[in-house]
Order: sequence, then structure tokens, then C-alpha cells
Amino acid sequence: MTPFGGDARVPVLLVLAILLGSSAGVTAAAAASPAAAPGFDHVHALTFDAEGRALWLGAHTGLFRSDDSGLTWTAIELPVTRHAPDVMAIAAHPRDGRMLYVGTHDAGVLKTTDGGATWSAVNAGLKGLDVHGLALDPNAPDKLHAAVREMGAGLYRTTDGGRKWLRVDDGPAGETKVLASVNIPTGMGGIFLYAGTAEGLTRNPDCF
Amino acid sequence: MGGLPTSTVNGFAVHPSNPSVMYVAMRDGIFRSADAGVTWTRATNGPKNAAAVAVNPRRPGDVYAATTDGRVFLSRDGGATWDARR
Repeated sequence: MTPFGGDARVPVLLVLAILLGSSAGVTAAAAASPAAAPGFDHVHALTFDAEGRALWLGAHTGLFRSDDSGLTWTAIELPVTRHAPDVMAIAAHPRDGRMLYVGTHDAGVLKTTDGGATWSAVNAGLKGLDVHGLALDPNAPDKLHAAVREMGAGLYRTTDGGRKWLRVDDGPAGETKVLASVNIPTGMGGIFLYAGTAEGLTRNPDCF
Repeated sequence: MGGLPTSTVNGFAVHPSNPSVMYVAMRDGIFRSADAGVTWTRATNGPKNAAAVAVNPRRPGDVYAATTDGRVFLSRDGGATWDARR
């Protein structure tokens, strides 16, 4: 994690930097400045944790967390090599504030059970890793749907918290921007899956 | 889905205990529905170029929105009025 506010070590580093004029000090000074809040280029997702404490933001430049209702943000490191992952979707567990899933542009689905300290990839069964929507069933939190684009495109479902995904169908028409399980009964034993797409808002029963 | 512009829906969020209340984030702003998406009303001073929207599950009147370029806005009255947060 890279804190951008309230780091008690920063003033010490700043003094050292001024004394030494070192390049390491320049880095510390940049991190300490409120103006150096992380860049949110191309925001894709915004989600609260279950306790309404942490606000999570997904962007082209990665994953960010705010614990003061959006005033200051911390960049969260994800175990993805090469570059900051393009975070397309975030799904929070409805009761456990430490459990969160993120969908990424080229690294599939990542899951944390400790509030973002550690992450693991949960991609078994996904035929592609470009995940543009992620919906968690509020009644059955181990059940999620994922919208995959490009290779292996389609709608996938897991019922065991991401251990195994199965392709359900082609998913919503149009490019999926956001996916959400909404606790409105369909009358057929399931609830509705809403999708925001390039063509508008659609909904379908989640039982197919 | 009456009342929504026929353009891209970027973000979506639902009231935690009353799922008929929902919000979408679009280029034209933030829209709210109280009937599960049958009719929609645009927040008059909500942010344009909205990329994502979220409802605080413990205080569902607090609705947050982020714009594509990374500004964050907060509504404390269920999406009626909005202020810049960041």
C-alpha cells in the first residue's frame, strides 16, 4: 500500500531529504503532498465495503481505497506484473467488510479476504481474463457473475467464491460497463442481474 | 427503462435494503429510479461524465459518484443534490 496522507514517517523523510538533497527525498516529498493524490485516469468502478467504511475505486491506473469518504486515497497494490492493472469492476461482500473481488482488464478476477492486504487470482474456468463486470449475489455471497470480453467472451458464474467458473451464456448485448445482482425476485427462484452497457440498462433473471 | 438517455450506462448502484431505489452513472449525469428502473429522474446538479456510483450501505442516503477523469462527488440526500468531494 502507498499511503498518500497521514504517514508519520514522511516529515522525517522530508527533513532528511532537505538535509541530504537526495533523490529519494524527492520521492518522499511527492508522496507527502496532498496535491500528489493518485491519478484516477479513466474511472471504471466505485464500491463501498460492507461496513460503509472503505470506499474502493477502480480505474485505468489501478485500485484505490479511501477511509475518509473519498477525501484522501491510497493506491492498493495488486499482484499483477508489468503494470498497474486496469480495474474494471469491484464487488464487495455484503456482510464481511474484508472480502472484495475486483475484475481487471487483463488479469481476470482477484479476491481479497483481508481488506486488500493480500490478493489471489480466482480465474479457474474463465476462458478469458478481460473482466468488465462483476456482480455478487447479496443473498448468496459465494455466487458471482462475471462479464468477460474479447477472448472467451460471455457471462460466467461461480457458486463457490471464484474457485470454479462456468460459462452461462453470451451475456448482455453491447459492451458491458457494469454488472450487478439486485435483490428483486424474478418469480422463478432467482433475482435479477442488471447490466449497464453501451446500449443502456438491461436486466435478466440470473437463473439461466 | 423510461427516462434514461439512450446512451452508455457506465455505473450502477442499488439501495441496500430497498432495491427498487437505484442509480446509474452516465455521461449526462446521475439518474435515480425509485421503481426498479421503470422511470428515471436526472439529478439536477449531479456531476456530468459520471463513470461510477456507490451507495453507503450503512447510510443509504449517502451516494457517491466518480467522474471519468477522477473527481469524486457526494450526495447526502439520496442523489438530489451533489457536492464535489475531491
